[in-house]
Amino acid sequence: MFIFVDGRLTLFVLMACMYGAAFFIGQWAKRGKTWYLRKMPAIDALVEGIGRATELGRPVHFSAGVDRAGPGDPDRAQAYPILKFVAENCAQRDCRLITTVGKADVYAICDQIVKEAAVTSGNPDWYKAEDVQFLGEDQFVYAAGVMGLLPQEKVATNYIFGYHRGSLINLLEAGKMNDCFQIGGMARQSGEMAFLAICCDYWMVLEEMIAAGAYISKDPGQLSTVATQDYVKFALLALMITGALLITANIDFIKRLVLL
Amino acid sequence: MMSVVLRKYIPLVIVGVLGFFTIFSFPLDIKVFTDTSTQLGSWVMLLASFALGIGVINLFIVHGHPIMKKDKEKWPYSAALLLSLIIVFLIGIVDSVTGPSYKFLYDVIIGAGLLTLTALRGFFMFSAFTRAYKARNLEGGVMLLATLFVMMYQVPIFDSFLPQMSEFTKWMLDVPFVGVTRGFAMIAGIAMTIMAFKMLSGMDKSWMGREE
Repeated sequence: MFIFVDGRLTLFVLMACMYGAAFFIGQWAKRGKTWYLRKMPAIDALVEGIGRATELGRPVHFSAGVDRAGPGDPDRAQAYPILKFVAENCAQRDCRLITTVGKADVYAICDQIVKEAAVTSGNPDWYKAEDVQFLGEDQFVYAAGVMGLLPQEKVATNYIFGYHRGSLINLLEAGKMNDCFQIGGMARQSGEMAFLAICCDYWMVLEEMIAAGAYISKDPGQLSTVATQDYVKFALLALMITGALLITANIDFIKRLVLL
Repeated sequence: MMSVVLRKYIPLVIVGVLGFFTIFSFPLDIKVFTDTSTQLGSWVMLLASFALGIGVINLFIVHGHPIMKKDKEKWPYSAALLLSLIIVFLIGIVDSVTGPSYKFLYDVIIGAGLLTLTALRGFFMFSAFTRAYKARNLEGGVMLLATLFVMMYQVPIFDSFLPQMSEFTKWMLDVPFVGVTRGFAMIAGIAMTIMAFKMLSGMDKSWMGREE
């Protein structure tokens, strides 16, 4: 239909509505509106893991995933604030943090985050360039690197964030074999998510991961993002229920609308 | 002042403008949007290739240290890694990445290593499942039961003895499982759309690391 790709007009309208909602709810947050975020044990346990490593005098390992730094990628976008939080806490306690990445473009970003965390925590000497490591572009090469690193460096706490594919089980089981305290999270739906539930002491998936940045920073702007997602979900749920009821009554108005 | 403009506003403008073209090339059939989006895709690949150089420098920093310090435990491994990197790089330059020598190196060393790690997954999965599948509480019991059904569904002998169970498992995989999976995908889709908008419009600057 004119300037629209066939079948994507409704999608365009939905996107515009979501963007409008995000803008207005963002403005609402600027005027002082706050939202309640329920307790997230996995995030609270991040500090516990760092404390454990500090007491044992052993390092913390943070995996930032094996995917490229794509725009709008929820795994990556949420792994960065978590890395920043972990790095700041490690720097404050002078606990060694080894950050590993599976893509070179992500390496530059993670290196900068760790470096800045050392400065903002008032412990710039804590940062060491060799503690942010690029282990290889292939997911299994990366996994082999982590599997070697965990026993070699006697890692006490293993944080697995970012997007992981088939090699996730290798990383998690290597952590288990080395008695690591493990926390993992994944924002995108994946068959590998089950391994987080099995192998981690604390884990978070999907919405919890997406809300992690807001939970850590308590920033109203980020809280408004989480709130917008909830409002949009309620609206779409209402649309789905209405659609299901109408189609049962043999009225296919919403179906035709969605396919426009 | 200049530093703030460089660090804050220029990245926001770049991300905003390029993101706008990329997002709207999906629903809109306008040549400038589709062409720009395709071109940007190529730029991403190009930038990622440049980033690989940074990764190689990091490898030399990380593995150069143990060699220079003559760390007894680490230096042989670090030396082997850097030597392999240099050899593969040189063969790639001389023979090209499609040449027989490079292919031989890949098939015999890299390919075999990757297959070994892939094969390890089976053992890891088994050890993880034996640890996890214990009916400690109601949720654990339900999970154990569902897993048993799915495993039995894969074995033809159970289908001969208990066809009803097979039908039930098929329904379980086709209806509740697909429903939950689609729900997950929708949640992630909504979250990505809203998060992308807030980042592209500059309303959420958390991705920039810090506020000026």
